[in-house]
Amino acid sequence: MFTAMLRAQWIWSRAMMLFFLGAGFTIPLLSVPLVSRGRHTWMTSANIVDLGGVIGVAIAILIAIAAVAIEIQNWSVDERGGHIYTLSLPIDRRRYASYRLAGSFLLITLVCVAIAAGGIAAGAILDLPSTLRTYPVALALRALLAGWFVHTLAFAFRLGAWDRCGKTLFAALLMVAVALILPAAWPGATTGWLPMVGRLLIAPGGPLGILAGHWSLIDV
Amino acid sequence: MSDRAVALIARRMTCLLVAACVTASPTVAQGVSRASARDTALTPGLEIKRAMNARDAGTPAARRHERIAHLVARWDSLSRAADTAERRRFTAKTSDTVEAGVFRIRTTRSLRRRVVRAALNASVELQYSLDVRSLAAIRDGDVTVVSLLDDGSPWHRESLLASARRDNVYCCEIRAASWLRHDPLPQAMRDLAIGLVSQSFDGALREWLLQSSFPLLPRTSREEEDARVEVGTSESNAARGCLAGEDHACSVLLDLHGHPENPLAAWYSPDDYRALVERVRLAPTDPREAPEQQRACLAGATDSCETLLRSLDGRRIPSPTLQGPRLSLLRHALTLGGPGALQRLRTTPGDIGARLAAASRRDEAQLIRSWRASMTDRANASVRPAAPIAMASVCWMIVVAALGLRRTKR
Repeated sequence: MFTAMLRAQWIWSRAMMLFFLGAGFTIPLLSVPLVSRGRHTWMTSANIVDLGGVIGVAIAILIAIAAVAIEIQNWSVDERGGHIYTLSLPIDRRRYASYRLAGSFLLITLVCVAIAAGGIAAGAILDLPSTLRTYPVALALRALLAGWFVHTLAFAFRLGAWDRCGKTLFAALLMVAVALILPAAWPGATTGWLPMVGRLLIAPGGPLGILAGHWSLIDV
Repeated sequence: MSDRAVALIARRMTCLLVAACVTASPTVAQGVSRASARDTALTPGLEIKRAMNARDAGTPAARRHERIAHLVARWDSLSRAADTAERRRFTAKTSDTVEAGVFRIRTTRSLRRRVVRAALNASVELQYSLDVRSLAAIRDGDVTVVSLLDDGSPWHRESLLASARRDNVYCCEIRAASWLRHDPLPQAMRDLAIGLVSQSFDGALREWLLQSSFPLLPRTSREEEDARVEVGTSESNAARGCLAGEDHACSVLLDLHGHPENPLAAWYSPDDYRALVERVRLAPTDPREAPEQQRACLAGATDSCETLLRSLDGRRIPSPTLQGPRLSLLRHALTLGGPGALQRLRTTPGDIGARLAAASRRDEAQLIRSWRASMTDRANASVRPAAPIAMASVCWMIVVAALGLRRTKR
């Protein structure tokens, strides 16, 4: 049953997946022409580390978009078909949802494998200063955990609350998240309950900790 | 005469004086800027007397110079009066002197309670990091906290000024702004204490720290991260050697035994010259060919890089790193040293390396090795999510997924 559902999920989202796989492989490789062109002219080691950070952030954005897009695509197909496919399956809804979640996790894993492959290829080609290294597997692992988490959030929200509160609740949650995280990141904001809650959210063990970590392909 | 009137007259007199200088001073006529003319004229005494003596008495120019001298004297007396009035007003405003924790602070009545709370918090945080002299430095610092702005809006936009003086000289000033009821005072008090303690250190240590604030509190992981990246990305032979495990290279990189006699040879290899030339800011005292050599070097002529750098004075060669790694090493030494580390750092004779070693209760090589190990450990942990963080993330996923699935029971 799971394999059949995964196949259906792949068919629904394969065009989108091809884009994300291509982007995941290509983004780390973008560092190669930039570094090889600038390495012996204007680019210092600090610039290369900054470039690694930019690629890391691009990967974070890509994986977050991929996680949400896979979720939206799957449910949209269901809704367009009037949930006929879902209702025709001989399993209860909870099991169906679990299979759907596991299938999405596998698709996100594929994107992360593409990121790791792109990063490893970039690391093999790049001519870096002796003090710098590439971290393709670490970046892909972080992307994997972050992608799974974002997808789970979107999945839980869609499954649990969308029908009742819909977009209003989504907008309210988004605003609360921004209101909590911004003061935590505000320079000098060290006291008060608002930054404290925000810091708990983005602390290393907190729910959004994996997203708030250090995203970088190249580091010391 | 009211205080405000005195201040107003003083300002007016300054304007008059500047105007008189601009019309009278021969330097202005020669095209010197107004600002420099004002500076010249506002220096009473020699300048003006010399100018007056140079001309015959009774000429229009001499009369104008007499007028300048008169205005300068008047300006001085009014400035003094304005300063006294301002000080009196400020003293009246900050009439409350509170003693809280290690601080003695002058503040306004409205801020009193918050100041006490912030000072106590800061004192508790700092108590294990301070030695006797640091305590005295904070205690003797004439700390004042006043409110500059409180708009009373729901956003509670507020601006505070916390300042400290040592021996009647302002040493630290912290402007803290806040919104949404974040109290900026605790951080301001901590920063003020750190500033006062930094000022209490001897010149050699302050110079080694490049005049930056002394790291009393544990540094954040972000600051340590920045220090690590600073060492790793500095285009320097010494930094590369240090990261590769050479203790001597670390000592040279961080100036632990004083500034090297030949910094170019000690810190950099020919491969680094181009990046170094990019950082060098030429001065008028440099050789006439220097700008041309710099341009040629940046265009790719490696010989020009070497020629330019060798023609510069040793003190003009920039250090491979700024204060980040030095503060990191110092913090590491103090953490290793435990109680009394700060005291040992102050009292041990010798160069910075010996003092840090004494503070950490280890020999210098051990200290450097331990610091380097902590840096390289952080390098690996920086990008890769640590196991506890990954586990926490998976746990949060399970919780969120369970919550989502729970809704489907109905």
